[in-house]
Amino acid sequence: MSGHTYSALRHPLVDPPRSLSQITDEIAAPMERAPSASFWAALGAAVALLALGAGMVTYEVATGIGTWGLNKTVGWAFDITNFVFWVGIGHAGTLISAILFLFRQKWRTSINRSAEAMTLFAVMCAALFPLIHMGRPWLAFWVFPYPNSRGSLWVNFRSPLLWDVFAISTYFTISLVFWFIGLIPDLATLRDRAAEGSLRRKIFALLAMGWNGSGRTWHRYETVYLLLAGLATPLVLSVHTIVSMDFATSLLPGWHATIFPPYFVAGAVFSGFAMVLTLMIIARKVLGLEHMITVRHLENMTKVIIVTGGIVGLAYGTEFFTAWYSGNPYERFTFINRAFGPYAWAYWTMISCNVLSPQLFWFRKIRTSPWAIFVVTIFINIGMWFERFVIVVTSLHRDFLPSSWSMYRPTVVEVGTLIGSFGLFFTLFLLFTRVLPMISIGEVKSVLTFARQPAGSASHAVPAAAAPVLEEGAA
Amino acid sequence: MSPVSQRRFAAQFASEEPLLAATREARERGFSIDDVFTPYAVHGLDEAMGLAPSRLPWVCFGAGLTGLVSMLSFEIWTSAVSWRLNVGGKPFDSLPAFIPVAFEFTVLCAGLGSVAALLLRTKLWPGRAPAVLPGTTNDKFTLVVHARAESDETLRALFEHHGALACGPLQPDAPAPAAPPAIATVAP
Amino acid sequence: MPHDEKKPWQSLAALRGDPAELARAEREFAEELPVGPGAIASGHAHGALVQLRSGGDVSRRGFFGLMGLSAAAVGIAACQRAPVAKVVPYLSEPDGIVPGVSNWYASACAGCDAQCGVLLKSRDGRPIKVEGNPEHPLSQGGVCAVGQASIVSLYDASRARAPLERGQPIGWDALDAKVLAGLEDARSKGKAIRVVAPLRTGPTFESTLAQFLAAWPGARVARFEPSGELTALADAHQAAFGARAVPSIHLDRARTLASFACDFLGSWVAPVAFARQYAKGRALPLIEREGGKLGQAEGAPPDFARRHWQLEPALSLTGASADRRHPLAPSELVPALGGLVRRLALRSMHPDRAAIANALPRASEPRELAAPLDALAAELSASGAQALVLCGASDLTAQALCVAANQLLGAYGTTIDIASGASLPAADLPLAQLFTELEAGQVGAVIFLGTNPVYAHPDGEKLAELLARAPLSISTADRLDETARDVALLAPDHAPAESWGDSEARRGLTTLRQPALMPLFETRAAVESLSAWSAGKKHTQHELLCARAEAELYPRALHKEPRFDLFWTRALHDGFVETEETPLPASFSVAQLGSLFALPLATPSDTELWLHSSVALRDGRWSNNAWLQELPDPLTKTVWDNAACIAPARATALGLDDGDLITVTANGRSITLPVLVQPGTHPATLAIAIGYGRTAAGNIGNGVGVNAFPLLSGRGPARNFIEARLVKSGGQKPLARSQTQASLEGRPHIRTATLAAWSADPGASNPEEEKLDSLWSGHEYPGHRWGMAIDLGSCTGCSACVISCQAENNIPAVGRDEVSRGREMHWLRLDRYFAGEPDSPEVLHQPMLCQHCTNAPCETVCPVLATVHSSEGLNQQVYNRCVGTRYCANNCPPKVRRFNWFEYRHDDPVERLALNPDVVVRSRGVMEKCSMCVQRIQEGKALARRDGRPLADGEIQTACQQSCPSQAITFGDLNDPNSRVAKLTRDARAYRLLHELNIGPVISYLTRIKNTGA
Repeated sequence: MSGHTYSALRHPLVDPPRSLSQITDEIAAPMERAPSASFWAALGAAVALLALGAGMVTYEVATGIGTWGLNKTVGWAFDITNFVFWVGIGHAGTLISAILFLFRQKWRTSINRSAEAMTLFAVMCAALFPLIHMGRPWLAFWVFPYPNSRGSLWVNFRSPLLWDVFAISTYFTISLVFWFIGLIPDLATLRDRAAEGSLRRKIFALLAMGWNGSGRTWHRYETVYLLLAGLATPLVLSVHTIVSMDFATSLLPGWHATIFPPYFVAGAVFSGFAMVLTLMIIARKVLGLEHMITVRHLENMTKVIIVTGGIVGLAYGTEFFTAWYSGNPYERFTFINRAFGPYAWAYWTMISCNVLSPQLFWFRKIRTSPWAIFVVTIFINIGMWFERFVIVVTSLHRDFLPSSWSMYRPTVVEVGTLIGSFGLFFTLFLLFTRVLPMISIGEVKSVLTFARQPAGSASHAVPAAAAPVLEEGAA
Repeated sequence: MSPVSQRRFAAQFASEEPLLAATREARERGFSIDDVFTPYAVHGLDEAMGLAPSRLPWVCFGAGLTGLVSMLSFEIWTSAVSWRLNVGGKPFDSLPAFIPVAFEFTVLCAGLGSVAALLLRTKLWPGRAPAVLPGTTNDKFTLVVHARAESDETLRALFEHHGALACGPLQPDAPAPAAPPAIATVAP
Repeated sequence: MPHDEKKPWQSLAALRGDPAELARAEREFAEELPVGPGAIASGHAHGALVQLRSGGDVSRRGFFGLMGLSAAAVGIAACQRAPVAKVVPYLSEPDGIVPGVSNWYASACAGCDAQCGVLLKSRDGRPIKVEGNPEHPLSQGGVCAVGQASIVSLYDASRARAPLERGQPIGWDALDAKVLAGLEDARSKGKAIRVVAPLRTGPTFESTLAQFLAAWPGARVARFEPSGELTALADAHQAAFGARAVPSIHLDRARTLASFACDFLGSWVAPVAFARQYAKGRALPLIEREGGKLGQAEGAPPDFARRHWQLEPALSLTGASADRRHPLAPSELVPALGGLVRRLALRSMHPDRAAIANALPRASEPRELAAPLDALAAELSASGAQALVLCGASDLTAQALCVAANQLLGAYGTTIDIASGASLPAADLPLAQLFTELEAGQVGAVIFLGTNPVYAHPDGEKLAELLARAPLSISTADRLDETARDVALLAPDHAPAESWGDSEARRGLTTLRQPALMPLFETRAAVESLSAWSAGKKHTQHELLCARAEAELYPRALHKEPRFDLFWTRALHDGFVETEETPLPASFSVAQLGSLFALPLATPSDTELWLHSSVALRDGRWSNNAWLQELPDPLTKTVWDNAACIAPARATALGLDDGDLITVTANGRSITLPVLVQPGTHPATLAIAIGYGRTAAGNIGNGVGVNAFPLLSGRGPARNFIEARLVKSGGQKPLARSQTQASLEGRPHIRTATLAAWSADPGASNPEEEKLDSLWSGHEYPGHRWGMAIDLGSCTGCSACVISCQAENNIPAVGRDEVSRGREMHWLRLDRYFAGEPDSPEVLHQPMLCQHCTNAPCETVCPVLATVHSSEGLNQQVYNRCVGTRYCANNCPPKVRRFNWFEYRHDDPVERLALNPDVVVRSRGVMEKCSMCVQRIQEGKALARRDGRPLADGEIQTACQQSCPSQAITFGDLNDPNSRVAKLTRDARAYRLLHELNIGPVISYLTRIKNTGA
């Protein structure tokens, strides 16, 4: 950015000032220094959880869905709850990287890389559940329309579950590509930092695909990046809309609601931002990136949370209103049962975590103290998990015919699988912080001078950095 | 792109502002810009280099359209032609229900299409390893112009006036963009 | 320097340059490979290999081609997934067996003593289904749940497979030798020979038994009936008429029916026949409704005076259908009946009315029953001969009072008839005396003919000890049951489907039993054993049966045949024979009857035990039957357990809730079992089902529930109720129930109206459905369009359909644990709701199965098209396409879809014989549900096509419809406007479940009509 971004009103995005090479060094540092003991501890814990989850899934697939607490009335519970939860988490990544990019929100630059990574890992966790919730997961490939010897027997394009298949796979692919395209310049940087002939250099050279920072390439690169951002934005909205249609297009009271798409998208952003914050607050501390992921970043995100939290709260209210106003006895019963029935505890957990706790962010003091934010975001993560649980289970367990009403209790296997999905998520995230730049080097450099004294001053600000070659020349 | 045989002159800067200034002036003085190498996307550089807007959006649009049409027709064909099945009393061609999948596929094709186009057009693919000007991917900004020997001095003056860290001609047969030896062998 | 290079040579011939040898060396392979024309001729290799040859023999290239091809072929062959199983074709097809085509054998049901006529569906030589015999005069095509499930008991892996001596196999000859020696020894020592036989066997059995008794002078028979109900009934009639018989009853003729704790629809005497009569009596005419306009009534107008009163201690299936129901304590039965008889005597013109009134027991009836009894008496005497009073208690006084009441009403001859009753053998030796004889060591030999008193007699434990004192003890049980465990010798009987036999359901009607398969094991019919143990020649059961038939039936048969063999063929084909019989000599005498009134009465207390037989397990003889154990009780919805039912008020008073364990003590015997708070139970009553708590029924039935028989220990007159003590013993045993919600929450899934309201408006409480708009035009269903109508007015909730469906469709029983998790697999279930006052609630039953919705919500959501609509309007589940997302089940409003949570094994070599080959056995992870017996539909269509005729209405019957005793279910083609189902669908009473959702079920329910009005 040249000086035109300068304004007394703006706050620098990188504080205190850094030189270009310092940025490179600092961001590359975590990958070049040996992992700390705390990292190993964290990774060990994550892998342990992952192993637990793997064990549970293996047992379930080998024995049958009967190892879960489901019954003839409640056909979905933890499985789909976790699925929606993880997809929701994922959405914040795309939102931050794509939508904020379109809105030219410069402050996104220091968080979008890890947010995108989070998206990928969350979608991996999410995709796991529709797979293992099948009675015969080994036949999961039948959900893809491929020519076969059965007729050909195709798939049912009317089923929201099939829409999910396409939505999730598209979402994952596009997010992966978007993320990788963003990585190329940084991969080149890492390539050029690595020692000549080292394996590290070979690997990064392969991944950087011969990036040389040519202005012409940058020109096209920027164009495509913009295009991808433009595509990812409607995509992320469509994905959670489709996820919500799993419920909205059914005829079950408590599922069959037209407000689900916006309600779910807002919920996704809400939970996603909470998860990003949770991770960022840990990461910036552990990796010492406080000056790039500044309190201002955190504060901006809490504001997004206040808004989306408000939308979610409104949706809860609207559901009850429509239930009452519709005069449909089944609908009415479902919502009364939700708030005062056997699963009321889950409902009120959801309300207090999702509607009440974000209100704390109205206070600047809380908005600006990382640990306070951390605590609140944890509550939101819990609350948003329960939101999905409430929607799935309380609607199912008492529907049209009282004769088939029943209760659902999760088994160890289900809880273990949920924990395992967190293990998978954190394992991937920790590895990511080690092998790839957590912050987009190129983009941060581009906002280095943001809101600073413009012009050549940059070169004065950094005599040391540019010196060697110059002096060699002058000598 | 300019023919490799052409003689080129490179100048290296420490930040984007002098680079942009130098690029503009070099163009105003009638020098043709070979390329500029920067550690990040410098805002306004395309305009300074006088690059025309990219045509990649059209590729994106085309790919997206292909995706939309092909998936919609596939859905209708499978559900209403290839094997008609009475599903929930809905018509064989339940168009409204086909839209979500068609949309997703549109986005997929558009995204992959434009990325593929980018990589091909900018010759980026695994295994390509062109020589990179030192520091380009870290903190150096290098401007490369086509120049005959007689104009070297004017260029050097111009670039040094803009605070070039170093400048000099590139080897004529050096594969573009090669490290300008001149930069290493400036002066005595 | 001369150029001399050492030339290598392989053989002297080669060195010599022998041309043949050189040619051989040229060749790539020393000898000819087995390929090429010659090889093909010798069948060595495939013709295609010819082209691999170059010149005279196989080239290296050709050879590798061949190798590659073989490798590829082997690889491809290895892709074969299914294991290669050995199949053995019929070389010479057995006569009468066409693979894939069922044979039907008319036979008699052995589920209980009712002896209904059944057809055994046999496939490839093994019976797989019990269906009702429509021609049978009594059951008329119905079969109860027990009868349906008997097919599993036939293939029960716990059956004894050979004669045993103290558990060790012993040959039949050895066994017979031992028995005869033992009997001989007893005779010589002057010791008693005793036989314990069931109360109701069959004429052939009785005559064989008589021969045995004749062969062993001094031998005597004790009759044993676990639930003494028939005994009491017969004894009362013996006293009154001098004829020890079970009267034949015609409920259809009864305008006013007063039932005192008589569960005639559930378990009493002959439930199937009674249900059929009951439904016939209350049938409503069919009145079509179209756009608010009513059509012509089709069928006889209903009898508005017809009313069924039920006075009972605990809710029974019969009580659930009653128009008026009043709870009363068991000890109030006799006083109440007495009060009724007194009232009837006042109104009656019967000559003996005074005598009867004077003889009545002195106990005064409970105050709160005075008013109902007045009303009841008024209605009864108004109906006069078309009234009927029944009592289900095995209490002599109560039965005697019933006889008196019916006598005063003049009902004998119309609604109840002793002259055409089924006579029972005269009481010979009281069982109690056998106990004393055993104790005294006077018994030399005791034979238990298919009876199990060690389990079912209140003092069974004592008997078990006493048996050791008898030198020879034998049982003919079909397994090592409680009694058989304690006797010396087990001479295992055939399963009913393996044996011949006959039975007299009523005078002049003999039901014949013929086997449908060869005995599975080394067993022998009890009659054959008896005949073997009588002096003289052994006879096979078939000989014995034929002999009797030729002597007794043939001469007197209504349907004459020129020759016996023709008659016999016809009789076996029909499954029954009707003969002209002289009516039973029966003359009414008050004196004898009055003496029964004088018997000691039950003492009232705040806790009175009421032992009743459950619809599924009856007296416990089929306890090892998983289908019956898992059949939800129609009233409590519990499975795999018996609980103590107490009134809600009493439960709150005692601080008890479902599943709390209590200890019940009576006669110094105690049992501990869980409580079930059951509406409709009298506050003083503690109702416990018998038939549970078996210890030697088999691996399935052992230890399920608790045995309540011992509580009646040492009772005086046979009686199934007694005062008891109840202690909350702490602890919990959660009950496994298929339905936990008892209230309809005011939802209109079941619609009811009074007969009065119906006569005013046939569409009472059933407003006509408005046509719903749809986005879609929908699909055409040319040809057939299958549909069903279920008349909630006729449905009694007997659950026969549930088991019939289970048998037809290979539905697994999943066990107590899984059911308590809400995972029972029944495709057809019976929903039961309570309405009104908890002390005497209205009970609503509704058979619930896949509604085969026209706009099926389940189909839209399946991602892989595993559930789609057929061109005949059926909602089909494609098992092998299903990946098990369960989305369909979630989106199914009536929640009738069932998921295979685990691999439910069918791998016991014997038990799997019961599987229906027409229906695939579903694997784990697959959704399943009602298919409307599509296999039967296809069979019916195929038969019609073969005969080149259109399919007749009612020709295809679904399993549930076929077995329904009250014909509440009708299946057929909705496209045929004159089909019965189409008419019922247009009936003013017909409504569709959840019509407002526009799912368009093809199943219609018909409003339930009750004559409760004043």
